[in-house]
Amino acid sequence: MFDADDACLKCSLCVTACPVYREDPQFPGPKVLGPEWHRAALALPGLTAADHVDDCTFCQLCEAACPADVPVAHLIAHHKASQAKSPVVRLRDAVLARPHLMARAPGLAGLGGPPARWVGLSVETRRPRPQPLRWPAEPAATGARGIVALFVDCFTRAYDGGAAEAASRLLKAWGYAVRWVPRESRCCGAAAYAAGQPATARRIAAATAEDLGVNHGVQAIVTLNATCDGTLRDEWPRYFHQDVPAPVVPFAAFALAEAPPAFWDSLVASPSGLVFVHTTCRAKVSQGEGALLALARRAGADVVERLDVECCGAAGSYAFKAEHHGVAQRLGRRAAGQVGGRSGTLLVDSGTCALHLSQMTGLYAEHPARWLDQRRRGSEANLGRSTAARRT
Amino acid sequence: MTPGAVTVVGRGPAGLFAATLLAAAGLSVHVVSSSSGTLPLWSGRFNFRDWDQGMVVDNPWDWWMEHGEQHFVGGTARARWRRLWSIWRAVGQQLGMDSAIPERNRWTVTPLGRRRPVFWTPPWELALDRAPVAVAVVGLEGLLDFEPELVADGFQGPGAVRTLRLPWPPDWHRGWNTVRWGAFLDTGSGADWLEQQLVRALGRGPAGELVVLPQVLGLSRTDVLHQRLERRLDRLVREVGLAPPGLGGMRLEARWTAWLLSSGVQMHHGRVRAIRDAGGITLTDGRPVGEGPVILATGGILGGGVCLSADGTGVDAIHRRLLGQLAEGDDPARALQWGLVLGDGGVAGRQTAGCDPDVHGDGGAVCLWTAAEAVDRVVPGLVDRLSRIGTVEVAVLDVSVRGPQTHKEAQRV
Ligand SMILES: Cc1cc2nc3c(=O)[nH]c(=O)nc-3n(C[C@H](O)[C@H](O)[C@H](O)COP(=O)(O)OP(=O)(O)OC[C@H]3O[C@@H](n4cnc5c(N)ncnc54)[C@H](O)[C@@H]3O)c2cc1C
Ligand code: SF4
Ligand code: SF4
Repeated sequence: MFDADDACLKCSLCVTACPVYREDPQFPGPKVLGPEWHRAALALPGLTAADHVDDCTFCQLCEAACPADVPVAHLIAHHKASQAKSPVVRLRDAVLARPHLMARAPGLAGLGGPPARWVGLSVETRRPRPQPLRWPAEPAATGARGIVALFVDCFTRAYDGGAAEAASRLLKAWGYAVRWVPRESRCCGAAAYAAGQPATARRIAAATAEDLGVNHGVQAIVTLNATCDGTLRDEWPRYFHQDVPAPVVPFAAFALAEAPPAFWDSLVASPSGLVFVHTTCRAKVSQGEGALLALARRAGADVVERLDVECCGAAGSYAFKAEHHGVAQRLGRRAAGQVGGRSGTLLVDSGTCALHLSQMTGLYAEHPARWLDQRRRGSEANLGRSTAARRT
Repeated sequence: MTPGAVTVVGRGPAGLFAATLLAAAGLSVHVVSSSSGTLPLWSGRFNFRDWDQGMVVDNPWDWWMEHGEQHFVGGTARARWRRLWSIWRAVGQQLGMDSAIPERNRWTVTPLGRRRPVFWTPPWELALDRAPVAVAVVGLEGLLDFEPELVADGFQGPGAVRTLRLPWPPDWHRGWNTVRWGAFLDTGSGADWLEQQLVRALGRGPAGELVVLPQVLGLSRTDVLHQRLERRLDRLVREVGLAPPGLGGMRLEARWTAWLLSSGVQMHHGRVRAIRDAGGITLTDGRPVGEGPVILATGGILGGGVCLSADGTGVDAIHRRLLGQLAEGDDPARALQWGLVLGDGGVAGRQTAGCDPDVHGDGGAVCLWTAAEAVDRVVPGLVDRLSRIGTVEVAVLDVSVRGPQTHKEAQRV
């Protein structure tokens, strides 16, 4: 199926990296659910799915740990596909696997009470409130430093439009013309793949690729969500058989590399309070860790603390599903323990992680682009005040 | 000229140690890796030199004085090692694992009840100078990796040895391995369960009794549990490392990585495709990552890593891609020796030729030594100038000089 799908040496490093394995005593772990199940399924076609395979969050930390390059998490996603589910759960999962359609009717996410219970949604997990994107009057044709495409993912489009607007203001301030892509609400395919629907995922991704609207003049596709970032850059070529028309760069990395020194120097004027930083599991896998911390420090945050959490438990729509509520809570509790009731801002570049972590820790969570843009505006206001004060 | 930034490939112990030295010296550091290193397979101890042709090495300080020549350590061996172990002690302290650096090898017991030499260990791990006056070896029902009766064989001597076995905890089932045990004992109910069981099973016991457990005392709350047990039982409690994966190595890796990140080191995940002339590397997905000279600490026992050929080229061992070439003027023959120079950087860890930590029992030492060599090539004199690791001052060790010892004098313990 994939390169290296039979390369497992049974070292168990994947097991040491799996956050669900530690929190859920029933969960068999990545080695058993991935390469071992895959080998058995090749020998015994029609093998039924293992219990608890659906408890995998698709964080991919197992895969990132594997020294033999086994696509552990992706084998598990295919394993999930062989589960038997009730028609209602299938319907729920079909809807959650298409967040781009949800984004066209964002109010749906608020479904509560008995209907939510009936379709198997967790009524305890916090849901997003609609905050749609406001399209700019007319996109700028070109900027002094070229054109970047801002990948406006389904979540941002429907529930955190302000993050895309903030990122666009910053990119413009740094000298770039910004194009919002894709034109319509479309998904990279991550949600469907994570839920064990790889074929659907590929179809969704193919439609997105077609509608992406990234042409030759575009220097980079800047992403706002860590999961979409990894899906486009790493998974599209390897698992979706899709080409990506320009280098894919997460917003934080782009900011660190491209924002001019004068921009950073202008930020020191506004106090930040305590800033926590969470690098999502998928960001750890597709990028690594340290860029958000560097961004917070570079932007002059007073005190920066890293959340020592592998995967927070949100995992896209995972925490919205009633059967995963318990594991999602246990995964998030570690963050709550570390924060210990302190107040501050949490920087995280994934909307669902932001929701879950703010519910677990009580912190105010926001996208780094929004935070940076506010600091820029706060600094300008502060500077304005001090110049005014000097004049009088 | 000192570079402002350095890229280290590999997040095994050699890569992390190189990153630690560079970050402590104030350089900007990028660590790139395509997978976990071997640390989660370790028990957490750092071996110095355990074996020489099948014989136990009693005093590794002296062994290195005698055999340093073949590893380019030469006559400076003792001073160099003193420096490196002093730094390592400070790293341990910074990571909440304060353990003294011993003057000679101590011994531990394997799950099969054999004695084996051991040098530096974290505070929770068993390491002895002499047989204890009394030992209680405590097993866990269902944890087949650790049979107390077998382990007890390793303590036979003048002291009293007794064996005990704790029953299954409430939620236990057959599939529990050490990671699961660790996660269970990290929870409040798990810690309460263990304490109650130990109090009940051990009773008062003889004075000075040492309690030996399999290595399962939690992953993220080990220190709290360890201290709690020692206080409550009023005895020393020590763990014996089990077959991989190892909780000790997992604890060490988690603390070390968290500290490096908090110190500003950037971690990047991905496989290296090429070393860039301009500095840093390129990943297989095309991303340019890192800056400055490159140190390769790519290990290799698990199938990944970089193959260094005699013609001085470095090749990615999984995908067979060319990574880089020896620097101009380097003797290709040296590609098979320690501290090879690739570009402006160096090579560290077990992939350096002549290292065979599994046979020699010198894994920890190999990582310290080779990482220090590689770092010194990038910034000459860095290791000797380093005065602190994070908030901890590097206090130079005082290891008394003994007479030279040949391996013939070493005997099996
Ligand atoms: C099971 C086991 C237990 C051991 N226990 C101990 C112990 O308790 N104490 C002790 O002192 N020694 C121990 N050793 C000895 C140990 O193997 C070595 O000393 C140690 O692993 C060397 O570490 P390293 O940093 O050189 O390499 P590794 O730990 O193997 O790390 C290699 C790193 O390089 C990365 N890498 C490789 N190729 C690439 C590439 N192309 N691009 C990007 N990244 C790449 C890998 O992803 C990995 O992160 C043990 C060894 C084993 C196998
Ligand atoms: S980490 Fe990779 S090689 Fe090791 S057991 Fe897991 S899948 Fe197999
Ligand atoms: S993807 Fe995440 S949750 Fe699933 S098995 Fe791998 S590490 Fe565990």
